[in-house]
Amino acid sequence: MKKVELHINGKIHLAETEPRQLLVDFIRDQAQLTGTKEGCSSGNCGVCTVLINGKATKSCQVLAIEAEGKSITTIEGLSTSESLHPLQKAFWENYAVQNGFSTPGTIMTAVELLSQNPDPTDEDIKLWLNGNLSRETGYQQVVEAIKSAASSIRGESTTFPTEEAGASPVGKSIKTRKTEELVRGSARFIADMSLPGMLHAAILQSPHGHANILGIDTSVAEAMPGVVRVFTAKDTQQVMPMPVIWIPPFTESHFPPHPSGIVPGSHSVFASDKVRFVGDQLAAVVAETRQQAYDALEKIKVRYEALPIVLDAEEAIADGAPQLHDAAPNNIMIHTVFGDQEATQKAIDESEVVVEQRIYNQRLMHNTLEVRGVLAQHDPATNQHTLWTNTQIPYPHRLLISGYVLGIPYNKLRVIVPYMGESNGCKGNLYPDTPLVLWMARKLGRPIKWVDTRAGFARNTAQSRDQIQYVKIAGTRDGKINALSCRALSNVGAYPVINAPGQPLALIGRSITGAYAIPQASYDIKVVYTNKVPTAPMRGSGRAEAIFLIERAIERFAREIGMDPAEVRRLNMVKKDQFPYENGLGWTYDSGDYENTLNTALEKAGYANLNQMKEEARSRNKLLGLGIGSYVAVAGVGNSAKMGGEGLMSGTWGSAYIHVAPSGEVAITTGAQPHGQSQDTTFAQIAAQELQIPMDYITIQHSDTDLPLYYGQASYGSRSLSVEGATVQKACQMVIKKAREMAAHLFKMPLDLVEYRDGKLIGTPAPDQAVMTLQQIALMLWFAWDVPEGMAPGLEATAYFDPQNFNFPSGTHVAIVEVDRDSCAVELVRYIAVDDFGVVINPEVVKSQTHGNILLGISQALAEETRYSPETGQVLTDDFDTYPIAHASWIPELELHRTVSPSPSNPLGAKGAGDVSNPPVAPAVVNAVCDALSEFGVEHIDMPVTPEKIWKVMYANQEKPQLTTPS
Amino acid sequence: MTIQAFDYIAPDSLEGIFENMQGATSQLLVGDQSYVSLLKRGYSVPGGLLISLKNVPELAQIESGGGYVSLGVTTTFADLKKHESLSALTALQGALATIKDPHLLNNSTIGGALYHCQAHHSPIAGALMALKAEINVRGPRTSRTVTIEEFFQNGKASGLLSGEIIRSVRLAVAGIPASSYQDISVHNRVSPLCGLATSITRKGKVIESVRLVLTGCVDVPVRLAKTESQLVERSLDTIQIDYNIIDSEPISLAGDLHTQTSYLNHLINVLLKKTLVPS
Repeated sequence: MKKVELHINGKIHLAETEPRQLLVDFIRDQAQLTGTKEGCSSGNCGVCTVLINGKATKSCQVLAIEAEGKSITTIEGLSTSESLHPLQKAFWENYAVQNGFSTPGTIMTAVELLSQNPDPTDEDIKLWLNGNLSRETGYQQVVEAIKSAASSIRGESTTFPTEEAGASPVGKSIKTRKTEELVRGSARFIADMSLPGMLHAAILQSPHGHANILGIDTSVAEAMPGVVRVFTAKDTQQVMPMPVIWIPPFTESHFPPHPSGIVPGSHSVFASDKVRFVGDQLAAVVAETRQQAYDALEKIKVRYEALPIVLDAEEAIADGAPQLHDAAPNNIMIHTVFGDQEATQKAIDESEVVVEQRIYNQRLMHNTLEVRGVLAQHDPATNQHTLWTNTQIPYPHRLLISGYVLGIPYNKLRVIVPYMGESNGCKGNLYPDTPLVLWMARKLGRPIKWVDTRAGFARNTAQSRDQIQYVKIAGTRDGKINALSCRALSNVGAYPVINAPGQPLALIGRSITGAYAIPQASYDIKVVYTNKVPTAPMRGSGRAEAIFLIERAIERFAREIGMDPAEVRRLNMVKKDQFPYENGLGWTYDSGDYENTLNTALEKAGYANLNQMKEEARSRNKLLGLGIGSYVAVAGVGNSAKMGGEGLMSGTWGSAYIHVAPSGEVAITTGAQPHGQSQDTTFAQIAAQELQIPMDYITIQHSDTDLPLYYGQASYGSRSLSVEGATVQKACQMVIKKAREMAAHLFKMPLDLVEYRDGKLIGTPAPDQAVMTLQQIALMLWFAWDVPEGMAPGLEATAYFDPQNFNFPSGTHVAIVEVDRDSCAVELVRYIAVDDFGVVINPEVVKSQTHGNILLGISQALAEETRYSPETGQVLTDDFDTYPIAHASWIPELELHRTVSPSPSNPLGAKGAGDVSNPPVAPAVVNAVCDALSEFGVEHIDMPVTPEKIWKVMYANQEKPQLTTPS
Repeated sequence: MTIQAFDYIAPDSLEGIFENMQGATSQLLVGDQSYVSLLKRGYSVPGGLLISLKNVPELAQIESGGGYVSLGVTTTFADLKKHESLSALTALQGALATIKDPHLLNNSTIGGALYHCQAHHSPIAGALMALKAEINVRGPRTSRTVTIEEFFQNGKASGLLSGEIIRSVRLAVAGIPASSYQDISVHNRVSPLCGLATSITRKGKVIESVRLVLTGCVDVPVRLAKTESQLVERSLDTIQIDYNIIDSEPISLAGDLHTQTSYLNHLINVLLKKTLVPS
């Protein structure tokens, strides 16, 4: 140990530390400045960026002791209690913050930029941010924020897009709530939390994708300094496996067992006899410090007998393949068909033109910059269990952990979600580590915290996509599509996560016709176990695979018959007057004008001048291509009965509890679970509009199962606004109704003569005398001295909303790319999106979500892919060096446009927006690349479309590739 | 992977460093952030002692004189980028321009490029080779100069004897040939996939001497010696990039998870064309 003295934000911090301690850990643990985050640990993501002597430095790449004698500035050092730094202010005001996990690091990097370059261009900023990643918000609003701050620092006036709420807050870009603490770095995420007496856990994973466990020796680890206890499967025999809560009722399914006998099972907190993927947990060390826990973890010795592995879904169902589960012959979890397969095949057989394509929608990793973590506490005096974790689904955690994993009383488990980084879907599951940490805390009688590592995350956290599709599209030579079939295999890895079948079944199977009226369609799906990491929904989930499939198929069909791909789309699109439209696979599209979004996008892209654009690019030795991605995406989960029909063992209704205090302040508890979507703001906008009172009077509550709400169905799949937001609206209407009844009683007037206007109850016959504010009515109901017969005291209400149908956002995206003829590198030069999200509550919030969706789609199309060792099943892409994700410099200015077709599925007229605009992105980009390469006879390239793949197809027929020169 | 424990010392003089170096049982920390990455990947500190050079001011200095510039081993890339005496070294400036992340500029050093030669260092190391850098190596009682080719011989950084450290790198800044650095980046790689640093002396259009240094797709920078010899006394007008040129070089391309060597081979031709064939 050495004494280390660091100057941080003008103060001296002295601590005894080991020389190996990293600066990020000193800042967070010793100086307790947790605004500096830890993300990738490999210096790629930038969330740990601080300034050392004014220079941007990733503190995860520097030893703390090396920073002695230098001046360190963290995000907390930028602002005073009274005022924000111009960058912090600009990030907030330009909607550059969603979940805020990456915000402090990005701001710190930008500080150095502006110190060197007071007037940077967009290009300067994007290049400077090369070492700061965003996995949710995108970069465009960040660039705008930095420019805005620069302008402010230069003393120039700045204009921000924020609007005042006024009397009609819905539809206005109002500054987001709970953002100041994010830009200041004071918001506490799971890794930032601590409790007195807290221990730390580290969890051992398997180096093998498939192996028998012959023995585990923990003796050396147990003797290590600081180690309190080492747990293995022998300790947790009473802990049940994870449950599966999606069981399709319309087909046979094959899951591992669960002792409850009510639901099937999945993996256990510890593997006991066999590991089936590299994320299977074998042991956990609990120690006084995190370092001690991880040091001891390396001393655990496990003897394995390696077994043959299978990683590919087609190989997994072949005869002789290694078998993963006794309950799943041939590794098949589910085999079913959507649509009329026989009629579809007949239509294909009778068609003039049939195009076939094999597509592999590659395996992705959610790779949130914030990894997962758990803090758990048990109070033996009250038997109260408390779990803090960064999950999308706190209420399901409470239900499933209490009843189906640990067997503890539901009412003795409280789940709290602290500030939470992005999820992209992976935090919508129940993982074995979470109940394990709670169980260990109970066992040891002390709070325990576990925060994953980046490498651990790569192995234990659900991955996504990974579907092989054999597609046939058939139609006439004049462009009419008659039939579409898809035979697919979904590789869901070693175990079913809680909602495993949802994505490969309904979300894809009922969505494959996209925006088109196709008379016959079918989807034959085998859901297959392999020795890969289990999969779960990911932003765009299911719809992304379906839209990629149809948009690639229609593109190929158009080229086969020599027609303009845009015209083929136009010809087959569901028409404006066809709504509600039954798509033949189970969805009823609600509203929209699909052709309008297509035409608008093409017009904005200059489609009429495509040939000239291609020629101009050719003169620069570039091949230009334009790609279209039109989409319809199911959103707004429930309705509950329909979801039950799909197999989800849960309701999906929205819920809200509203409480008007005697002071007039309004508190609304929502069933939504924000993780960057700004429901604190948008739901307050809805309530302020409905209650006709200032937004400042309204607080939105969530993230704690002890809040006064029966159950929260959470946030996923673009459901929050259209279901939970609509429930907030309904709750407001319920208190208005009660307030009117109370006012009618007090005014001694018939109810129909009392109206609610501007936050007041007004007796219309005597508006100057018979008038009370909502606050006054709340006070009268609190006193309850004189209430109508049968009316309960208090102004409060609980609302539920179970929509009759889903909603169906739609749109068209256009990508324009240039492929370098020599290096084959792809540059995205323009991107145009025309989306229809129905009624939008806060346009800038939706814009930032759209940026995030597009960013992820581009990243999938061009770069991302999870790779495994074919020998061991080990995940090879376990950091951001090996798993590249999109940087700011990849992305051109995104040209976003919207149309508005209100949804009849909810009273707000809203449609989903959070993830629905992801599905068209990848097909638009891949269509563009294939268009650019059309002269080479390229029909399809699987994602990621890398320069090397392009080079191979461009030069496939040349013995020795010849370099081209510009014509 | 957790970082293995070690002891640490940061002497304030070269003498102090040599006193603490215990043969091969200690390791130097040359102010470069990539060392921490190596530790995280399981690279342990031999003998458990890490000796930091951060407190020896002379090792961070850039000194000019006599047509040369000397770059101390802990000089950062950011310092290289802004130092006026280096502005004429276009290969070096071009290499520095490829490093966008300010953290890497601020926390990567000349020493890091030589000792560790990780992906982001390779453009700089390649440029130094193209510019005929000489490395000043110091022992407790010795001082010698090795060429950068000698240092990077046999495909690895191996030019030091036990107990020696790199003190500085010397570059000529007067009467130097034209130089350049170009590379190719792709989306599925964090660092440039392949780079080419060159320096060429010409008489008219005829090449008198040339240094072609390949980076990125090799473990350490390597000169394309056979290609160089074929180019000497050739006119730029007559050069055609032949796919076979690179086949004849005794180099081992470093493919990885995402890239096969056949594509790297193609990219080397692209870079040669960009560098040598007038557009």
